[in-house]
Amino acid sequence: MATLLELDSSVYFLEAVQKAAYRFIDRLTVLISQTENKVVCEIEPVPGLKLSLDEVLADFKRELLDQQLRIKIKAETTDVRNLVLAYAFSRSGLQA
Amino acid sequence: MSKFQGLDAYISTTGAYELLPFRFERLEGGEVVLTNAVGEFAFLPQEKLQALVDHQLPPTDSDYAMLRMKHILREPGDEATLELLALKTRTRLSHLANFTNLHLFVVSLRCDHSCQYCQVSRQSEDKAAFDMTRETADKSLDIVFRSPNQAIKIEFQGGEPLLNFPLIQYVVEKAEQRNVAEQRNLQFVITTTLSLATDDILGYCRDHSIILSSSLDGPEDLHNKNRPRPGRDSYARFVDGLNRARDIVGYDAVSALMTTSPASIARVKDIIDEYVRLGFNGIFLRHLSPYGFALKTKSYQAYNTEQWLKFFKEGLDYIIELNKAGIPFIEHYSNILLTKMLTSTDPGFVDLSNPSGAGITAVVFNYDGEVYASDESRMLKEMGDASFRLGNVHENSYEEIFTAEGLLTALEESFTLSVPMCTDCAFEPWCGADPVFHHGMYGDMLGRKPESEFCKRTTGVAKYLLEIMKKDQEAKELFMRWVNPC
Amino acid sequence: MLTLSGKVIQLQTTMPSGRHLWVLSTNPDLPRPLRCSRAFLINSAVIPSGFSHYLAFGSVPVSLPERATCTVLGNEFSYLGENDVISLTSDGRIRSMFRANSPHNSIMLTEQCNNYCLMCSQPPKNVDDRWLLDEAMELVRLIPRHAAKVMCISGGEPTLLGDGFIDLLHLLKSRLPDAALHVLSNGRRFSNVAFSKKYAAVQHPDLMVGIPVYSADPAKHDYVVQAKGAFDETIRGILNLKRLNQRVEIRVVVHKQTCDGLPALAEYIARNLLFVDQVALMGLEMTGFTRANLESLWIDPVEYKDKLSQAVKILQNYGIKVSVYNQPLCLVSPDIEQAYVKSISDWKNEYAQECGPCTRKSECGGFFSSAIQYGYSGSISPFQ
Repeated sequence: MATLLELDSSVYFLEAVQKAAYRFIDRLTVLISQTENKVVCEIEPVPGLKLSLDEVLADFKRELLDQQLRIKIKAETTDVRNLVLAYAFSRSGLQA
Repeated sequence: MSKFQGLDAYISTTGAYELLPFRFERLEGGEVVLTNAVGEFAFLPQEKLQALVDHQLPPTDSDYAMLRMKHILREPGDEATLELLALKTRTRLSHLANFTNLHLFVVSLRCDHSCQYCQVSRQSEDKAAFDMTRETADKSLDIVFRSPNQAIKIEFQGGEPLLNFPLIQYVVEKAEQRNVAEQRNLQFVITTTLSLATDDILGYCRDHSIILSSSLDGPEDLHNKNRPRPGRDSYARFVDGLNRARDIVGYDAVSALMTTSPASIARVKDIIDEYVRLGFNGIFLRHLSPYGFALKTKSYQAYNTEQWLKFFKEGLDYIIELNKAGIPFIEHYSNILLTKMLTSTDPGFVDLSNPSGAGITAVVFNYDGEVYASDESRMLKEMGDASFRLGNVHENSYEEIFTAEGLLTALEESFTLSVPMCTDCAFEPWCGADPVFHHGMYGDMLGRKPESEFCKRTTGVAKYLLEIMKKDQEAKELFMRWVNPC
Repeated sequence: MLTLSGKVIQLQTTMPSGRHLWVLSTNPDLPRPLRCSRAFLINSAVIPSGFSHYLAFGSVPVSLPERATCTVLGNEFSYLGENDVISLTSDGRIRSMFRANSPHNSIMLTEQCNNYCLMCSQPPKNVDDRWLLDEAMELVRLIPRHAAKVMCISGGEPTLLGDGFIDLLHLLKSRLPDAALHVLSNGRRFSNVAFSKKYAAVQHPDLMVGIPVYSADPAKHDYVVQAKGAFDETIRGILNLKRLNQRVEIRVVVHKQTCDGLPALAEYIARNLLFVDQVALMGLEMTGFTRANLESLWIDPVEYKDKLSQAVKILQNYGIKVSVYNQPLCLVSPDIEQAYVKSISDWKNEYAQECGPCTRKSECGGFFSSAIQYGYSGSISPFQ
């Protein structure tokens, strides 16, 4: 019997949900769908899962937050990362 | 006298800061480890992570200055930070421009041992079938010297390479001749069990500065069990060969590598003691070799990784103890990760490189002229998977070999910065791509990282090293010495 | 403690007005052609003629050659010797400009500075002192060509002189070819690439610049040097210099504001500035601004010795040459003795009373004379 998780898509982006689901692919099978303003997860434990489903789900919810954070960090730092790489590949320079 | 201003006059009043590229992973005990764009790490209590990302971390916070100096955040005006990050990035990637260093010559498949995990050796007297010919050697050398790398290492492998010693001599002398004009930094290595190393052979090695890489799996019973040979005397022959090689070729001219089998898992201290007893100054605590074992179920894989991690941690703890007791002894696998964690130098280890070391760091010339992206690729072919075969020295040019589909696809698809989960992983700067392993195990270049033994292993080791460095300053200083040999 | 400057006892007659520099000689057999450009130091009854000026101790000697001019000095100047250079002003001030026997010769190019360090031993003055550069150039032209082995160039901030500073470097290279140069600078001007290129273009055979970095935390560094943005400029200056293959030493004065951050600074240097030529960790001098900021600066060195040891170990582990200066030997941990240098400039070096019975005095850097005067660690313990 699948556990249903309905997430507010303004808080949890689809990308974050997908990435969290991927991380848990060894423990959970997650079917993701989208509605108007929600991201919906149908979650089932992987057959033979030895850990308690409640624990894994709790972990999964924390992972959702982490993935959302990562998206935020990446978005903010893309420009400066490109700047650093441009510097790194410019002609003059030292090696640390 | 003019007025001196207090510290608060120099601390930001607006609290405005910019995030620099970083990634994080949660650790035990409510802490998070952050890694910056060039793999430098910092610990942060998990409550502060959200504040950091929300730009709410005050400049007076006890961790703020640390995050600033570790290049995880910067204030307007911190221009030097960008220059330094660029510098470190360039240093970390600079080895790529040098391209291929390690060239493996499989001079014979024949072997006097029949180790359980070996896929390649042949118990045969038929030299014509399984030995490399001079023609193949010549063509291979042509490819070798096309490498732009100033440092060229030629490593002889097998089977047992000493069974085709005349060809080794041929390659060494041809390479030396060519090097008079080429002026590269040329190094030779023979990977051998030493069981067939006569004094004459050792004398030749001395005369041509060839170093020997041998195998020692542990104490005699363990070693012989792993490495059967007629006479059941692999260990005795190894020790005898070791002593003579040290006398004739030089004490540091012989190094030893272990192979870990299920039988080794419970005996890490015995194995290390054996290495110490025989006067080696380090050991490489290797992972279980997958190529001899058909790993069919996921649970078996997990079992292997967890058991191996226990084996590894016990071994590393023991080694640190030895060092603290005054016995200098390095653990080489940690050293590879630590080099990436503590310096901007690349350790040049094929199996833990990003981009993958296949082709870029190493290439294999098989006895029959077939060219492979790595030693693992060759073993994979023996198991029926030719995905990483790049060509044949008799049929293909340097360009065709190094732009072969097998190589380029492997490099591109396994590029960790672009790959699911790796792209977000805090340990990515320290890790590597291993497309060959994943292809062999899972059928694609990446596998699914959460299920990957490679990932669990690397993550497990990285976390353990972080844990050690966090609570043991003396061990951290020891690690700093390991990664800066001179 | 040597008296490097002071008043003469008696100035006799025809002195040119203003300031005059003299090279000294104690050699009565100095070839005559060389005598007219030198002053002779009288230390016996033998007074050779033909020198441009004479210096005597205590009183004017009776056997002074006719028409010779003579200045009388107190005995505190008896250290002067052959090839030394002094300046004499018409109002009776004498100053030792160069001592041939000393490894600690220094040229002060200006008293101006764009930092304002809490512990500055040469507090900045905002006066027009370009004459100091002129005097420096005259000094360099005067010092006998091979008499100088080491010259320190400092201030204030010497690079504030811009092209004048570069010109002096060229002059030193040409006039004193044996002299190794050590420039003390806050490094900020080198953040200007054009200036760094001019500096590199001197192509001096033995030149190093010592640049202080007091913390890996920009806020802390800026606070110690009392200048916002100083850290950033300094680091960029160091990077520019290293791009141009110039030798750089990083200097850290260890006190209450810098000791806690020492290990972090060592790691910062190891990860970001691995290419620096050496690092110098230095004890605090109780002079200049230090006394005004004592509350913020003073800490007994025994309290930071563990941090100091940690920093030294980190730098050594990364293969960076590190030296510890200006600390009494009994106040540091034995594990740093490999990096320990007996180092206080001879003219400001002394020992405390407690040091009397110490068996390792000859290995010890001792104290700054200012410490003897104004305060030092209560933990001094002589080695048995």
